[in-house]
Formats: sequence, structure tokens, C-alpha cells
Amino acid sequence: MIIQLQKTDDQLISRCKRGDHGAQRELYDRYAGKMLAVTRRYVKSLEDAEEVLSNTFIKLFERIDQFRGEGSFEGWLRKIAVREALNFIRYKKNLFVEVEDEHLDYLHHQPVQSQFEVDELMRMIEDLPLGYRTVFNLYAIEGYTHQDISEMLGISEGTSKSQLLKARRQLQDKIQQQQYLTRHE
Amino acid sequence: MNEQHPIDNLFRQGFEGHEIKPSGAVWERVSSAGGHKRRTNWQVYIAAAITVTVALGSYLNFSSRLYAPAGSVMPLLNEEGTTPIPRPTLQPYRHGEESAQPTAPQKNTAPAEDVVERAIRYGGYRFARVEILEAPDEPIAWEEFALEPLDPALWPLMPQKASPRFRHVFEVTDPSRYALEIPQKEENPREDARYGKALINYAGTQLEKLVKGESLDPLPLGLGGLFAQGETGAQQLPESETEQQQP
Repeated sequence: MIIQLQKTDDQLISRCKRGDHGAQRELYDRYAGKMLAVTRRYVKSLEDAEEVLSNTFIKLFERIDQFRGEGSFEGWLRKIAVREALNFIRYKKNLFVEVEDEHLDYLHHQPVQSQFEVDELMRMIEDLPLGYRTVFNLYAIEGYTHQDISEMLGISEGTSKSQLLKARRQLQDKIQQQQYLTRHE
Repeated sequence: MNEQHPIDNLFRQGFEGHEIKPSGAVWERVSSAGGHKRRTNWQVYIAAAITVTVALGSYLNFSSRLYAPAGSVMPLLNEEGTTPIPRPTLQPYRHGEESAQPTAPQKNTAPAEDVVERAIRYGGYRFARVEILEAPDEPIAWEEFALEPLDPALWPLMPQKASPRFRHVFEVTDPSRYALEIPQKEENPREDARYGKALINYAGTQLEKLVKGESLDPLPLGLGGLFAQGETGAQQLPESETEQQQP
């Protein structure tokens, strides 16, 4: 009986640094699904998400020499994927509209009681306007701060906050609508 | 850590571990476009530096063969019999067609090949100072070196033998057009023997006549010149001696 031990990320990465095509394929198979789930949240269609994914791995293999192993490889790859997704949608102009901060005080936290499937969550994210969706993904899911987001997107921190709050409000409305529909079915 | 909001938590937890299987086209794009490791910049710089170095070295090597360093003697003309030159294509020359005379090049700047090619191309010209090129211990003085047109009427008066050095350099084929190719008068041993024999016969005959007190014969054609003058001097000699003995 042959037991094939799974290679660690470090082994694959060092082989990729030497240009090993097989190691690149193994690394791709290991992380392509996770990264496609990330890129899918930022763009509207699966085809676009796959294009972003391919750009992500092309850039990864070009710059893999820069990975020093100081942090998590998945986190590093995830940052590349997010930046590639932002590059993909950056061509859209007037993506983010400046809003006044005084309109933001009516939002309040409400407990979310029902559990949703991933596909439903994804559908809610898809329905958000591009600016809302981008800021919500960066802040709520990826964990970037408003300062990071303002630098990444070239907007003010106030715009980032307003886009996030509007995204939350829209998502909360959708969740309540879903819960209502579920309750009366 | 960012502010914890129920909506944020819902989506963060919902997407945790979420994967979507990509289609096969994605890897094909990655593999064809960016799957191979790209050369880094420093590799490109090294390759460029090597290319420039080789090109520069080749250029300097080639140019050093064309141009002799200042103050040096060109090996082409100083090493006898060691510089083979391919046979040039000779252009027919008609006297008077070329209005512009070839000008003397700058000192120590003209290549040796250029000189030779010009000398061959301008057939019918001669070197004004061939000895400059032949002097082994003197640098070539280019300002004294020039090509002068040779009047076709003077071609037969040119030296019958070319310089041995230039025999290695030039090989001219048209005797009617090139001064250096005037047919050489070859030495004929048989003729020389006849010449010597006639001279001995003449001397013996004249000696007999001198003993008998007869007058001497004039020199036959072909033996004249210096001997004829000698004869005249010999005839006048007794009178001079007589004049000296008289007082």
C-alpha cells in the first residue's frame, strides 16, 4: 500500500520558485476553489470571477519569489486575489459616490436569527450596487479598515463608511424580507 | 479588529470555507500565459551587458585590424611575404576620365587596405615614394604618400622590375594598362655567353694589331659605350706620355 503524503505549502512554494510546473498545478488545485469564492463576491458573473482568478494565479507565479514565508500563504494569496478583483472593476467610473455622514445615524444593529445558505448570501451580495458590495466585502469579510479601503479604492474614509452602512442596510432589508417569506410559507 | 456587526458576522461565517470549483479554462490560461517563471530583471540586465560587451569587443578587434595605432608600422607592408591579399577586381582605367585625383589621407589615419585597394583600383598610377612604404624602421608618412597619374607614353620608361615587396602585394595582369606589369626582360644565359665570347675575340684581335703596329678597329655594335671611350683614351695615351718625356 502506497501512502502519498500531502506536500506542505512550503515545499510546493519552493518548487514553484524553481519554476516547477507540477508544483504550480498542485498549488493551483489547492487554492483555486477558495480564491474563486473570494473573487466571485466582487464581480457580477462567474466568468468575470474566473478571469480574475486566472489573473490572480498568473501574478502569484510571477511574484512567488517575493513570498518570504513570514505570514500565511493563503492570506498572501487572498490579498492578491482581492487586489486583482479591484483592478478588474476599477475601470468603472463614478463607482463610489460621496455621501454626507449625517444620513448614517438611523442605522442600528438588529439581531439576525435565521441561518442562510451560502448561495442565498451570495445572491444578496450580488444584488448590492458595486460600490456597496466592494466596501462591504473589504470591510466585513476581508477585515480591512476604512483607512485601508480608502487607500485601496482612492476614496475618503467617510465615503467608505457610508458605503458600508448603506450596504448593511440593504442586506438587512433583504434578510428581513427573506425571514418574512420563510415565516409565511 | 473591525467593529462586529451582526450582518458582518452573518456573511463572514456564511462564507467561511466556501469554495467554487473553477472550470478547466482557468488553468489553461494560467498555464499558457503566466504558468512559467518569468525571468527577473537582473537576468535581463546581465544578458544585455554580455551582449554589449561582446559587440564592443568585436568592433574594437575589427577596427584594430583596419587601423594601425598611431606611430606604429603597419605589419602589412613590413612583414615580407606574410600578408596574403586576395586578388582584387580590376576596373579598366581610361586616362583622363577621372577628374578628381586621389587625395593623400591624413597622417596615420588611413587604413593599409585602403591604400592597397586604391593603388590597385587606380591602375596606371604609380607610387610617388615607394621607399617610404618599404622603410622598416620608419612610420609611414602619409602626407608624403600620394598617387600620381602616369602618362601612358612613359610606361615603357618605368623600371623593369617592381619592388620585391610589391610583388607580394600586387598582381597586375594587363601589361598594356599598368606600369608595374611591363614585361620583364628576362636574363638569357646563351646571349650573355655570346656577348662575352665576342668581347674576348675583339680584344685578342686588337692585341695582335697593336703588336704589329696596325691601327685598332672600332668597337662593333653592342660592345660600344665605355669600351669605345677606352679606346680613344688608349690612342691618346702615348702622346701624353711623349709630351711628358720631352722636356
